[in-house]
Parts: sequence; structure tokens; C-alpha cells
Amino acid sequence: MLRFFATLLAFIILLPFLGLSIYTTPSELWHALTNPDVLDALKNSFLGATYATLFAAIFAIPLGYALARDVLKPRKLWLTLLNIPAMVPHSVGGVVILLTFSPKYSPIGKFFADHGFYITGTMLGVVLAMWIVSVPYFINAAYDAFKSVPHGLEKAAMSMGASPLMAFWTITLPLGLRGLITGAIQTWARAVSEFGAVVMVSYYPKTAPVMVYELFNNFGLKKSIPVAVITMTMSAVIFITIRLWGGKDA
Amino acid sequence: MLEVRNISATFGNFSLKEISFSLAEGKHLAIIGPTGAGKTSLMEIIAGVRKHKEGEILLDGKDISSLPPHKRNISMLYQHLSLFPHYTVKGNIVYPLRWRKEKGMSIHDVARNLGIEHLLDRRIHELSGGEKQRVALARALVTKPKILMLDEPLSAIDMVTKEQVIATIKHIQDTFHLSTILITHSPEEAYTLADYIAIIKNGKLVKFDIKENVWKNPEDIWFAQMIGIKNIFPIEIWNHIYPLVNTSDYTHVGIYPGDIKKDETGLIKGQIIEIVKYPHHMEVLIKTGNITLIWQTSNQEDVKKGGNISLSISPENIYLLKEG
Repeated sequence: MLRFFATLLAFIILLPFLGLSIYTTPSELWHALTNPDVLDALKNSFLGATYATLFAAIFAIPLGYALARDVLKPRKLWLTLLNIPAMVPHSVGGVVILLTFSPKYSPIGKFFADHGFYITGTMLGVVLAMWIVSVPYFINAAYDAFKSVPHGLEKAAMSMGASPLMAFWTITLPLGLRGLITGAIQTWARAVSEFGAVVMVSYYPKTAPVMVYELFNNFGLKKSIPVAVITMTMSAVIFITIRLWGGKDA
Repeated sequence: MLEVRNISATFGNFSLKEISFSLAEGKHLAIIGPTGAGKTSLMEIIAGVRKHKEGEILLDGKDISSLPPHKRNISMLYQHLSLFPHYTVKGNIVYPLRWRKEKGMSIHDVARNLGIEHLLDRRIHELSGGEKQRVALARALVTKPKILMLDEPLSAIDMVTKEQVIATIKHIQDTFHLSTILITHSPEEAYTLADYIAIIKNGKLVKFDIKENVWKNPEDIWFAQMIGIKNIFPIEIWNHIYPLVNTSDYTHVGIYPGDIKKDETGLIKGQIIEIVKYPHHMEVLIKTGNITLIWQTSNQEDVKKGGNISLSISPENIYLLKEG
């Protein structure tokens, strides 16, 4: 009985996505796949999400570790604060990024602009928007991963002569790796699907979600479906591949 | 020789206060005390894992207080063994050698000595409790330490494994020519595995002596409980059963369960109300007068619940205790 209901619920969630492909034809899909603008949008999405994930890892791994080992106190407050980007509407996240990093509105943005870094209309802006909304997922996963590694193992490694860094590298990181991979997958998935913050910060270069929106807006639902199907299929393939590679629990 | 001189340290609300003792080469020390007394903290300070505020630690006359853990020639085995689950047995044993220039023991020698040579390629989760203990001991011994410190090595294991581990520790003490420092809650384990006993209370070393002296000189009730005196009674009640003289400075008497003898002519008459069996001995609870005595005896004794029994205790085995 439980299996029946679980399967039914899973189908209710997946049905709209599975059904999406029946609203397009192979020739429309091929036309979209050979369109350089669509390919560019897909590349921007996947590359941008990958950079955002790597960038998130740089922040999330030390922060997750510091939180797991109670270096950052009070832990609950910090975890709540660091989850704010995931909680606010993403268009609000876009506004915040613009206000913080645009040379028009802030000295930080001016400083970056003076050194040749612009966020509006650049890939940097796309990555930044993806990063800000997805980094909490990586921080939470890194916190859980490191929390699951007993501190006693690190202490034992250090008592045997490993430096704190080497104890982390040889003990904590390998034991927390599965959790970190899960975090990376969640972060990447969140980043690649981001629309609100990206469209606010950097409409160009266009990402796949922005292109789907633009096609829908300018030419109607029918025109946006092939790009939506391609984006969904490619995301699913990459997502499933990473999950399988990362192990069944990742 | 290990010399600990006036070690003081503070961790949050807890302090270790001016702890001093020395342990000759090849001698074995057991540190006993209640939970939170500071036993593990003291051990971690000696190992160099924790920092201390004042005092010195000398090994063979050399001050090692400021040396990092791996340069102290001291190995430490934590209560939960802290084996690394992502390494094989061999990977675990070799781990401490990765961080030091000095050559350690051969992996195969140490593994053979502890009877785990056939397990070297196994993963940790594939081992039994006793095998894990031996792997952890091998990892602690591979660096050829002068001192091996064991934090409650027998606390989280079943009775059969416990006996194996006790035998292994005694084998190490006899074979590897090192000193051991053992933390334990159990007076029996301390007596079995150590030459010296240190008792810690609220961060202070309240007793350090050879075990025989510690065992025969319980000073107060707290002390008696620490060293395994399970029969502790107020003197006025005990006097109804076995009258004593010259007790004016004391409030209680204490008797080790093992010092009570079954004796047909004994003055203490009672009824057996419970029998608790252990692998190599049993504890018999005997109701006599207003008290319940615990008598420890071998499993060979013919005793029955509900039966009557006569017991005797040598006067020198009745310890007078102060409040404490």
C-alpha cells in the first residue's frame, strides 16, 4: 500500500516534466539544438553553474567545517544567517547583488569596476547571481558532512603527528567527501536552474532559463518548449551521472 | 622515567591543579577517578594534544612540554580507539609513521606480535571488537613509544573481549619494555594492570602510591568507593554485627567483597538474598542484621539463594573510614 502511494506521489511530481516532451517534435528539437544562440545559452548555464559550484566550495568547505567544530558561535545564528540567500525571493537576491556590486550603487562595485570587473552583462554577473542563491546548499551539506566525522578521529590523527591541516586532509575530508559531493550536486542543480537573480543581474550573456523565458515572452509557449526540453534533459543527464558517480547516497 | 611537575591547566570551567608524579621506566600506572575528574585531560596534556598553563613534563630528564605530540615518544589510545574507517588495518597502523622521520617498528613485526598479521588488508568495519582493540594497540606501538597511554580501553567492550584485551595489554607490558598509563573507572582493572595507582578528584591528584599501599589505606568513604570497597556501613550499625574498638575518629567501616570468607564457625550469620554471576567469580548478597553484605567468591562455591550462611572477616580487613 505504501509503495503504491509513494509511486503515485512520485508520478504526480514527475508527470508534468515527462509530459513536456510530447508537446514538441524531433525536428523542432533538432532545430533548437543546432541554433548557436541556444547552444550558447546551454553552455552559459552549465559552465556558469559549474563555476558557481566551485566558487561555493571555496566558501562552504571552510565555513561548514568551522560550524561543525563550533569555531563559529553561536552556530544556530550563523547557520540561519548563511541561509538567508536561499530563503529570500531570488529576484530580491538579484537586487541585493546589484546594490552591492554595481559600480552605480556601491563603492565595492566601483572598486571592482576600476579593476576591470563588471557584473552587469557579463558571465561574472551570471556566476555571482548563481553563486549567491546556491551557496547555502553547499554550506549546509558541508556542515552535515563534517559534523558526521567524529572530532576524536582528528584528535587521534594529530596525536600521531599530523598537523591540523593534514588531519583535515587525510581524515576529515575523505570521510566527509560523500556529503560534500551531495552538497556540490545540490548546489550545481540549484545554480543551473536559477532565473530570478540571473535575469536581474545579468540578462546577457543569456542562460537557458533566461532564453526559455525570452522565447515564451516574445513568441509564446510553443516556441519555448524545445529549449525547455533540451535544458531539462541535459540537466537530468548530468545530474544523474554525477549522482551515480558519487555513489547511491550522494 | 616520566616526570610530571606541577601541571596546571584550565579548560572552560574545569581546572587541573598542580599535578605532580613520576613513573619509572617499565612501570605501569593506573589513573582512577570519577567522570569529569580530569583524567583524560591530564593524559592529553602528557601526550601534547592539549596545552597546559603551568608545569613541566620530563621524559628521561628532557623537558618535552613544548614538543608536538609526535616528537614526545608517547602514544595515546583513546577510549573509542579512533580507528580510521576509510583505511585498511595496514593503513591505520602505518598512519603515525607518515609524520615522523624516525623509523618505527616493522608493520609485520608489530602485527605478528599482536596476532593481527592476517588482518592487514581488511577494512575496519570487518573486524570484531577485540581485533579493533589490537589494531589500535598496534598503531600505538608501531612508533616504538616509551610510554603507552590507554584511555579506558576496557570500558565499551563485552566481557569476553575485555579478557582478551587485558591479556593483550599484559603481553605488551611484558614484551615491549615500555611504561603504560591506564585510565579506568574499574579498581579491578587498575589492580590487574598497574604497579602504581593515581587517584584524581576534581582536577587534583589526591593519591599516588604503589597499588598495595593504595588498596590497604582507604582514608575516607569517597576513596574507598573509588578503589572498589563495596561494603561500606556506618560504624554504629556495623557494631551490632561485629563490634569494633577504637573507632572514635571514624564514621564508617569498609570491607572488600573478596576479603569476606565463608566460615562455618564465623560470627556473621546471614541469609543469601541474591547471587550475581560473572565469568570467573560471583557476588553473593547476604542479609545480616540491618545490612546487606556483598561477598565475592569463585563460581565453585556451593551457594543457594535463600540459604543461610556463616561468614568471617579478619580484623585487618575491616577498614575504618572518615566522612568524605
